[in-house]
Amino acid sequence: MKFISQWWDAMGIWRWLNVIPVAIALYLAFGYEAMADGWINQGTRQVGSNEIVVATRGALRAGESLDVRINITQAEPLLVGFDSEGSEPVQFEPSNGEETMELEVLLPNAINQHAVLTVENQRDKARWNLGRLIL
Amino acid sequence: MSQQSRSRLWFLVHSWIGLKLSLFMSFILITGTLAVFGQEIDWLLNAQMRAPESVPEQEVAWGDSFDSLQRVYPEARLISLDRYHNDAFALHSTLITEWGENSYLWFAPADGEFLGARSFYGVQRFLRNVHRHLMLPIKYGVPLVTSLAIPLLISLIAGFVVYKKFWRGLFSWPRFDRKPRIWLGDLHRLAGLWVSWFVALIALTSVFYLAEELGWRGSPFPQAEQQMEARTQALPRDFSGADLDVAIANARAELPGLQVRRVIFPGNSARPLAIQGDLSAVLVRPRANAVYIDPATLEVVGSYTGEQLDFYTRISEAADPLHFGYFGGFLTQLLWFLLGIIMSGLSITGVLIYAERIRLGEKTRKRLEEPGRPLTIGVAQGQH
Repeated sequence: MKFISQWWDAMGIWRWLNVIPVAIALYLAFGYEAMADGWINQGTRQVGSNEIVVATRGALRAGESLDVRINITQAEPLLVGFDSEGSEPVQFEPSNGEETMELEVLLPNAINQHAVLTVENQRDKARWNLGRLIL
Repeated sequence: MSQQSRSRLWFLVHSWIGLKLSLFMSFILITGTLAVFGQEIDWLLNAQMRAPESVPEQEVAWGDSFDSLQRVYPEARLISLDRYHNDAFALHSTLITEWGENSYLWFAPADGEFLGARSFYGVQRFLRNVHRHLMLPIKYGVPLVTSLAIPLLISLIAGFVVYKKFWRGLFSWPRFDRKPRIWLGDLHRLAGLWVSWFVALIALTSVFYLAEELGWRGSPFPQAEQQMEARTQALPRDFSGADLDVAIANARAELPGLQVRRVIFPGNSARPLAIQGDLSAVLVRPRANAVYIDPATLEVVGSYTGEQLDFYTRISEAADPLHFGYFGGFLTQLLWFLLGIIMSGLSITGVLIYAERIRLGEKTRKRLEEPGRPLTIGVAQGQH
């Protein structure tokens, strides 16, 4: 331990020029995601006469929750979930004038099938294939 | 300035650089050493990266792998399909998923069976990015890291200037029966001498990376020479694995002996398919030999080999194999890894020697400060 303190003292002001880049690299490395920041537009579908745009944010991981943003043209009760057994859809009821909603939806816990997001009203249902999940 | 003063000055330069940059330098050296086997570490950790069986290059199922890829990720943006230089690895594809994540997909080389997918960010990527640019934007990180090559080169030269008749030390075994200060110094000098060529190689290739990042660029790689059939998509909608196999056969006919290592899919409708690989030029990356294919007609629309590249590009292509050590397969990787450990050890033993020097200096000072102790003057003979 004495050796470390001697070395640390001997480095003088230079110790910070050593520590800062190393600390920054490690900090950034542990928070890194191999993907672009922000929302990814997954496309527009019709649910009846309601035009719906779905965007997702972040990586899709089996069994984890996903940030979903939904733009609608008509305020009506909608169910958002996944075409998968055991998936618990999220219900929301936008008030008049509310066009954009952000919600968290739990992804299916299976990596060998495509994650298909569904948005439905009482009569119609639209699907967005978000792709096959990875580990 | 006397020869002794000059020698003393070089010694101060050597030890000052070694001490003041010790932590940052050691971090870069250690991550670089581990990065030599970054892919292999990922291979050990991820079963899907392992080829169920290795097959000769001519029998690699490129087309079947492409068909599997289209089945599992039909909407993803394809970047490439690659064969690693080690046959124990499965084929892998780099792509951007529908949710915008860079990912790797793995396929059995024998039949193209889909083996699995994972994020682009693994051990290899962590080590490479931390070592190369500290995870910072490239334009800041690469110059910051590669600029360490300059003090490294100065320290190397200083070490040789200070170490008189250094060739005699090539076979001087460290005196492990002496005090730590002595045997650490012996070990530092012996290891330094044997890896000095490697230190110079790593430093010079790093200086090259620095110059490249600061704007020193050669001419771009040759492009496709012939017109392609007009199309509206990056790949024609009906492009299949069978088409890819025909494209690869045409590439092999264009450059006989081409060992295909990578297929780069066009990023837009104006770009051709590029088939890259190893041919006769030594110390180059697979991209140094390439055939361009029109994905609509599968005809060759251009090609080049490593020998046709200009001087700058040849140097540029040689920098990575020399810096990473993969040019001779697993054996040179292993050698580079061991040399990297020794090089990292030089940084650490240098600091230990410095600490020992301080400790002994303090001890001597305390002894001299003891009341009534007679002052002795002598001449010490030996190396620093």
